[in-house]
Amino acid sequence: MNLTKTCRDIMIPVTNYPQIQQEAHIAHAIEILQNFFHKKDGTWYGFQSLLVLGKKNVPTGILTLRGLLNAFKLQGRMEHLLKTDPTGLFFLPSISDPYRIRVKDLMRPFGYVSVQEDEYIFKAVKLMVTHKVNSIPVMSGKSPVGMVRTIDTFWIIGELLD
Amino acid sequence: MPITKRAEEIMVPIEDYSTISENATIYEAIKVLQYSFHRDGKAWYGHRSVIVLKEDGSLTGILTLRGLLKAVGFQELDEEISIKAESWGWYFTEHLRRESKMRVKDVMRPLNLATIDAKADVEIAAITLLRHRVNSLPVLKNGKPVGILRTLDIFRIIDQYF
Repeated sequence: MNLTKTCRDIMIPVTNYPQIQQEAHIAHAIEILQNFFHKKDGTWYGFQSLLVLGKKNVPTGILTLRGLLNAFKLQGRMEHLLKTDPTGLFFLPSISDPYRIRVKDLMRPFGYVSVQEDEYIFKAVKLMVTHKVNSIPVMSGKSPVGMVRTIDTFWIIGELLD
Repeated sequence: MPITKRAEEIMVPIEDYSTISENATIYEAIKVLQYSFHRDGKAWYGHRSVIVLKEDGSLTGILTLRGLLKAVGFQELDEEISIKAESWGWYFTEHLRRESKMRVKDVMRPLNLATIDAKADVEIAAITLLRHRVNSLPVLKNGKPVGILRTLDIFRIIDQYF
């Protein structure tokens, strides 16, 4: 067991990660993520976040399952308000178009938490615990190059104990 | 308009989860969780938490992946200035040995901290997951745990709402 693994060693490269444009409707994001899910031995597995691309296809953030849960909550509130008092829509969190929730409204920007590719996975785990997130973008300088997930780091910890 | 689903319709039955005694060590918990995982390329499949049982076999809590990462002491390690990133693996295993008296019951999420009723709508389940900042909730029927509802389970039916 190599004790000096870096985030680069365990990350999933951005080129292998499912992607979506930040202007896309949240329904499109759900469709893409669901297409990546498969059932095996009775459990579902697949990517649990999307890489979000901005102008000129520059990655700007990630959209996680938690972001989609927030979209679900917002959608429920909007439908309720539309049935009762539509003026209440103005009091919802500022979204670009209250009738169509977009990816950029609920994505987690890269600036929130990230790790450099040459840092040890120890750093990534610390950030996951302190920020309560399950995936962290891996950067090379200012450019995103991959993603590390809780499950990948957990496996390394298991190997350490063997 | 989608037909509203209830928690019990989309949960994972409790029998599908691995179990562990509340008196087991953290090391044993890591091994049990590892056993429930399988790898398929870069994707992992299997359940990301373990059901915790009392001596009499009744359910008392849930031990999650992130809970385990936190349990093995990464936050405390961060505060030890003697740690050099290059040797974090060594410090980690030493730390785990020193903390070998720590038991699952010390780090699990107790059953009553965040739960959802089997008849609750998925909208309520989503709000409960977000409010408690967790990705899984024990589902109770007549006060008895019957399953686990995860963010992932809501994601799988969320497309009907957009």
